Amino acid sequence: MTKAGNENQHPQGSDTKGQPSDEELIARFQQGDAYAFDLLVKRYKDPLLNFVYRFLGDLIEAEDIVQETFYRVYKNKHYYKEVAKFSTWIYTIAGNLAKTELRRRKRKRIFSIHKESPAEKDIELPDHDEDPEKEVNSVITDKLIQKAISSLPPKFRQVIILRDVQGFSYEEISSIIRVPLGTVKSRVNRARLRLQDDLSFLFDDVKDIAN
Amino acid sequence: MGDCDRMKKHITDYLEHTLNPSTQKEFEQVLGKDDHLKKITSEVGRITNILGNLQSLRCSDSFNVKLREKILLNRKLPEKDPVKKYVLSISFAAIFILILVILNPFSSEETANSPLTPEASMQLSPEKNKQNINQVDNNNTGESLGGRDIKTLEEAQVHSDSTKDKSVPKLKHVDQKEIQESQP
Repeated sequence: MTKAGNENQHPQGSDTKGQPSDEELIARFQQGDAYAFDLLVKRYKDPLLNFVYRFLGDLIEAEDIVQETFYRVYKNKHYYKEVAKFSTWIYTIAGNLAKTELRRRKRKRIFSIHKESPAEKDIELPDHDEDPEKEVNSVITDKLIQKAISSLPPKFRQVIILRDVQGFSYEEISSIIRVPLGTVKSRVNRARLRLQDDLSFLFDDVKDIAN
Repeated sequence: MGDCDRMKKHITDYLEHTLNPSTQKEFEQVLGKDDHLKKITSEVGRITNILGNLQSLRCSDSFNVKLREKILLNRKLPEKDPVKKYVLSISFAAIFILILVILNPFSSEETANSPLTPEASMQLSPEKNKQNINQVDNNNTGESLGGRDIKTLEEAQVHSDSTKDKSVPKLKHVDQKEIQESQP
């Protein structure tokens, strides 16, 4: 399985490139170093945005939730103990906030229809993709996939985003959503099968065009 | 088709090379002869790749400014003091209990209306009943009747007048003449 090294992926949080690890940064922040918090924001804001956006399907709401996530981290910095990875902690906060938002939507019976928003103009396509036709196909595929992800039940949606979009290991997902490892694996497989069922037409179309 | 359904649950493990050798062998055998399983496995692999290469979104340029504003704004708001919160909740609980005690649903009036027969209720709490009768005495006469015999007579009188309860064992044998004499 190939994983793109893009901002969809969660930061590895290690100090392999001479950078301080997430755990070091949060420790520094707990001791009052505000710059460490800024570094954590810089490191996590885009991956978290991708995670929440894929979960909710609304970019503006996703950014609000990421803001709230960082605010919670700021306010409750002393609750973090180095028994878990920082990434696990912050993704748990973001996931819980996203689920709360989903429940709020259900209560208010608001069905989010994906609409063009000013913020979406900020979407940056990969530089290497210079073929306009390919670019259009990519945008269409993205929207179709987002629609299929949004149609999944939340428990499947969460694991498939964490695993396939964000690139977390099964163990990390198990810690984030507090569900046994076996259940995580089973949910990932079932989510993939559902997506395959929903998106099968995409591949049929490709075959038709090729023929 | 049965084999295909059985093997579907192993697709992820197969694609991630985490199947144990015997299951992998079995999976590949079914895969070799079942086109449907082959199609599903191939498509699941492709979808997994697509998900890993989805366009990445970036936060708006104003993200950091907004976050800083949010933090500063919430810093200015007075935080709720947890001690104050506990004191308040304890006070509310105390007031609630006090109200319950004042409006006691198991008061003497309620007991009188209870499904128990008067005899039964007297048997259950003779002391309480005696106290009630004394209370009625005091209300009626406005003075304490110190003597034991007089008190018993008064008790009998009041009780016979108010509740018509002639089943109180202690008062059954009081002479009616004595009662009449004691009345002004």
